[in-house]
Amino acid sequence: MAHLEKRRALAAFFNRLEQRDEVSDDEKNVLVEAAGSFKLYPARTDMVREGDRLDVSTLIVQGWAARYRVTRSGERQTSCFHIAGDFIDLHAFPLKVMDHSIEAVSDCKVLEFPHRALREITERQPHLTRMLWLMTLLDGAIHRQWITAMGRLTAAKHMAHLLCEMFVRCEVAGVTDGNSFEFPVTQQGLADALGLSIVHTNRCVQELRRSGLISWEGSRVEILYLEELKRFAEFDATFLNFVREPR
Amino acid sequence: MTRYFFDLDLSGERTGDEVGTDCENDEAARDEATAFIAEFARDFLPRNGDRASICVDVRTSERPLLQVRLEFAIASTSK
Repeated sequence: MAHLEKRRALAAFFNRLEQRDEVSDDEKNVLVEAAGSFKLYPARTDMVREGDRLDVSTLIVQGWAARYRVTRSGERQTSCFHIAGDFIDLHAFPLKVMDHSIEAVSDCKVLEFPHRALREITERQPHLTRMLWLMTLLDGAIHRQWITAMGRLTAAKHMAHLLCEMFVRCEVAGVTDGNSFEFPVTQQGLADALGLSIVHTNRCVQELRRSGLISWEGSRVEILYLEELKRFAEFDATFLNFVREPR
Repeated sequence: MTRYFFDLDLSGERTGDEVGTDCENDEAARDEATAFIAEFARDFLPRNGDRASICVDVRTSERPLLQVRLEFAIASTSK
């Protein structure tokens, strides 16, 4: 029973892996067996805090989370959003001490993997280990895109880039609804992700709406013209590595 | 929290803020307008020639509050 429930909960994660390589049934079973317990985090609570020393890594089953750091003056910068199927703090396994925090953006259901079980995987499953390694490399690839967009694109293009990224990632996770996805972020949360004031953030939303490329009602974003939005944002999904090949 | 509106005027071309942003008080709204104009200048000025003005009018639904203005000009100093 627990095995089945965990297997179902890992469907989005398996999908993420299988977008990039074949994963055998045995390997999936190893991951299911390695999974510990489920945990729930209400929206806007920290799942992990900078400085924490953890003995589990967390995989999101449902909901959104944000990876962030805070400056001494209290200003927050988010460096990545995470959604269902993301192994958010696989980092904590080899890093030991977390150098950043992770917050539940919406209510989150997660599955915890004891580091002891992950260590066993690295010792016995070389291919699975490479796949887990790839997952953290993808986090790095996303950070590079964020840095480039933040440093070199206009604010509106930067926002468009984020929307393209989240739409494409949500699609793979199976949480889009046609051209729409649920983006449960607050105004402040969005401003923290873009590194902008809230007023500027809101203006960018209005600009993208006026351009007819998107509609944004409450927390529902609809991409009206994906190809045009990608072109405007200079978005190229290559960094997300959607190529199924031996890793 | 009060909803403030930040209307933008770019060298005479006006874009009204239809949605607004919630701020704690007038002072927070002033800080937001200041941060906004500085960020906006980074995108706007390099693309809009030698002279520009960026102006943000801050108001609530009941009253005007203040105006933040940035004047930009490039003048040659070579002979």
